[in-house]
Amino acid sequence: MSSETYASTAVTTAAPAQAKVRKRSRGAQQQWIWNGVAVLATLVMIFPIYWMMNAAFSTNKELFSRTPRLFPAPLSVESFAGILADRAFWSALTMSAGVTLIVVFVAVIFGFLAAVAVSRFRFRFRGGGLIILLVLIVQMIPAEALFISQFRMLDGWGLLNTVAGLSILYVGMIVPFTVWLLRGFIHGIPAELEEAAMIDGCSRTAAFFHVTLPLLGPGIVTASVFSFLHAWNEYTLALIVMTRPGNATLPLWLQSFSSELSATDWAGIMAGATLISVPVVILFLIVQGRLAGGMMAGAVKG
Amino acid sequence: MGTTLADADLVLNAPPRPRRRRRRGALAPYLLVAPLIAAVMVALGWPLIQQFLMSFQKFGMAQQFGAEPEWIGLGNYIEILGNPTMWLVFARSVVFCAVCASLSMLLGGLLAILLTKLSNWARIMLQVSLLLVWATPVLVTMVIWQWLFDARYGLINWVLSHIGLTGMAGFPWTSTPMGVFTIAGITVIWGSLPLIVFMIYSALTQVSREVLEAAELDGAGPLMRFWEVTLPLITPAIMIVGLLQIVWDLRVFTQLYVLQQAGVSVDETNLLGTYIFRLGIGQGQYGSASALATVVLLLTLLLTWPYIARMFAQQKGSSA
Amino acid sequence: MARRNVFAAGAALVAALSVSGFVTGAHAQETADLRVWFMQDSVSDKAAAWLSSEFAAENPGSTLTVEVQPWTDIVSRLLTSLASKSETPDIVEIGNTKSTTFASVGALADLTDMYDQLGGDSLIPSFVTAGTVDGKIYAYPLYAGTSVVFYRKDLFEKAGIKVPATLDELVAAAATVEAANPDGTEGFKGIYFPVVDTHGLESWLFSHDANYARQVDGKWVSGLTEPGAHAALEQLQKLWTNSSLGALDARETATHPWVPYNNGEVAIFSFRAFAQQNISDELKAVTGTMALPPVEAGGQSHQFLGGSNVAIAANSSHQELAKKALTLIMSKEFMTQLAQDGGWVPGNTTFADAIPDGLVPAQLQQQIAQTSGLTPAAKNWAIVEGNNLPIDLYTGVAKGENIDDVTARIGAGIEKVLNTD
Repeated sequence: MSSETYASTAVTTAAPAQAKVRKRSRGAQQQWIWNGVAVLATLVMIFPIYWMMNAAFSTNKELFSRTPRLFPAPLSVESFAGILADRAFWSALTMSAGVTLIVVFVAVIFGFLAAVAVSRFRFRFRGGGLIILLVLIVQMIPAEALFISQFRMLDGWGLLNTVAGLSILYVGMIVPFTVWLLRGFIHGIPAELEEAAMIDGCSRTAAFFHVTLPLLGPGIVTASVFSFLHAWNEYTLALIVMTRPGNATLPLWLQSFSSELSATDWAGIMAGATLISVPVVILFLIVQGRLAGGMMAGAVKG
Repeated sequence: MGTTLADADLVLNAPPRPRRRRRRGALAPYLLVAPLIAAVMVALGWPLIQQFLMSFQKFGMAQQFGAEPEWIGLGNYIEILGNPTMWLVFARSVVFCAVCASLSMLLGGLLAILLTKLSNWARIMLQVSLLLVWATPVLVTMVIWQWLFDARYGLINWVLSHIGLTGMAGFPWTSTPMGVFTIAGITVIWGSLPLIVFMIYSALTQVSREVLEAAELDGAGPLMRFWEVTLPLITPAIMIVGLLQIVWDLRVFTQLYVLQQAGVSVDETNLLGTYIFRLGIGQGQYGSASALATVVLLLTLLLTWPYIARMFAQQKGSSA
Repeated sequence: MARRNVFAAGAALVAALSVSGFVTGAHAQETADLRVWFMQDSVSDKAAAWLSSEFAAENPGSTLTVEVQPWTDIVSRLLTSLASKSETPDIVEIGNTKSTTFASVGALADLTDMYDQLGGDSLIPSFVTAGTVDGKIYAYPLYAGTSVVFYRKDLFEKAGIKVPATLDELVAAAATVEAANPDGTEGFKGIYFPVVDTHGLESWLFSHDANYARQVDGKWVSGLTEPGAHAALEQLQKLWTNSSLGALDARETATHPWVPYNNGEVAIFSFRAFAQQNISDELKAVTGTMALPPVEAGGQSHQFLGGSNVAIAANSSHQELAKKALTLIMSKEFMTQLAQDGGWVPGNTTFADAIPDGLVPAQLQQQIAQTSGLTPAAKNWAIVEGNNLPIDLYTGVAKGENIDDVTARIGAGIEKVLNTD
């Protein structure tokens, strides 16, 4: 959003003076150089993803060629057809979608509540300092040793192989992050706005819902995206918690392409990886504009 | 360290601004943070406490299957701190982290600046490509890059051997520690660029145009303007992203674990994440692994503390 | 295919008959829903379905669910799940080299008294050893798969090479056929035998009567410094430096050994018997198979025999029912299906006749199984493999390092791991 403002300011400040025009044409030239660099950077960034799709649309035989096939022609949809006809894929997709939705929903609500507490109320936690510290420490905890304790805890509560059990772990790990992202946001919205609405006869709650919440859109989007990515991509906890085949999430399902008793199906893995990424990409493209704004508040005002 | 902690606390307890005079339910804020605290306590706090207790026990596979654990006091800690392998792995992790974090911050910063200089179409194109990278799960990333680096069927060796480096045809990247660290480094940097770019770019767009123009009128050149005006304004964002990057890169796990399974010496490629995992789940020495995890957490805190303290100090400065 | 169907019909008939017999004789007993973990690709869907329906029929009110588990990170999953009272599988398939580890920590139930009932001396001996700790048996052999050497008969003939009768001749054959390159293939190499195929490679050690480690007075001592091991590694080094393709290939790539073979890029490769399905139709006619040759002509080679054991979880709360299910798994019907559908050597070798003859003759697989060797039956052996120590050994040798240096280094590493409690 703000980048558009950037561009429009540039237009309005352009004065008709001759010197400026000359400067602008030099600027335009420079702009093309920058755009060229951007094209190059885009190609570098995106190439591995292109290569994945190229492999996904090939057969295994074509993949194992001494001369790499640079374009997926002829297009082979064998791998995709195989996956889409596989019940295990749909089951994993449903499971991943379920867990992810719950985690996003709960993490954003919890994060939102706590963010309101730290930025709207006067009490010990005022200021983002402690929250940032919490975020950082949570990120520092070596998760690789915690698996055992987390497993034993869920086991004791009878929550193994349940969506609830896995979701609890995911929410706990991501929620400090969502608080941090949302806090910057709520902080940035002047409380006076709410107060003005209240003077106009709204209740505190109504004022919040009508005035503050809509302004929080980008923040909520950003927090959701972070939670989504975490729940969608996590592998190790899912591995030990969800042991029944019907409970497998997508990252677990993806592992079924490599087996010790048959050849690794590279084309299948690539097609599976492509399919796993598709929902995320769609989501990202939908929320793209708001995401940029969300990052801003979270990062800058952190 | 104690004093900096107190400083940070001071910031947190900064005096309320006058407009917050209204009386509110004293309980309400606590109720609002309760779910956060509960979630973190359940998912991390409780297991952390268990892990901490376990670090004072001789807790192996037999204990996992019901045998009574034996309390051995600081035994696990003494063993770990006296183990040169642990320090070697720690040092290796710090170097790996330093290289990856600084390279990705540098590249990320450059890309973010580039984003501010682009036409609309080019900016959106680059942003979308970054989003695609961000959306790619780590496991998938590893599959792709391993395939790119495959000795015989991979694109990278093919390209290298066709631009004159004929010795690179069939080069077995995944069987040498340097090759493995190269692939791991590239995947880590590639994967962390999107977040860095977006955060720094967001900060850059916040820099007011007027201030920059004022600086230009004062005769400041582009470099000077960046150095004197832009950089100080985006420093808080850079600090936070950088800190997250350091913390994440210090405990890289998945990338390396996947690559180790391709068949390289585990001893020569272990980083902290894989070292803890192999000691714990791999070898069933949960007591030692717990102690190691505690040590690593403390070392990480110690290593990053100056940075964190500076960040708090800066916040204090900017809010004053 | 037709033969298989006929047999399946027969098996179904037998099953149906036995069902009716059992149902009438069944008496009141506990009922439960058993969970059985089989690894991906090890048991066919048909065999799994047979097991479920047979079990349900014999134990009215109880069910048996086969849960197929992926191979990746299975040890992590087993180490956690088997410790849970509520979510443990009742019956698990465990890789034979990992059986000792799980048996010695109390994860598996003691099944010593079922030895005779499940097949006694017809069970693959090395697998029973792997499942035995302190004289008690915790795991029984489910199936075994052998490694086989595949070679191009036509290229051997054109290059004037006889079928190698010793390991030295195999090394020489690889060099000769590469030098001759009868078809003039670009980049032609003698053999594809990457270091990550450790189980194929340790057969060279076993054939030289060597092993990674031996137990001496209750302590594990490196066996790599023995002359036999040195001789084996010397042969391998020669093979890798002179006439081998992609010795240092990544594991995933090495799971497709038939790719270079089908492309005509190599004349020999060694892999598990199931590779026969992937050899291209053009090459099937000119492909020969053999066991790894012995050290000396007329002698005996000892190949590693990979495969799985099956065991009952100590934490299963339905021990009696699980034993009944285990009896079914070790029964003639199930064992026969394992042999037929998977081409495996069944855990009870009495039923090995059911292995279908393919490119790899059934008799060859049986012969390899009978003379097979095993990695050290140590509690910590799984850790040695998990830490890639065997791969390190062969990598060092393939890179041309001094063999004594490599064996000293890796031997010390193995001793350290094996002698840790």
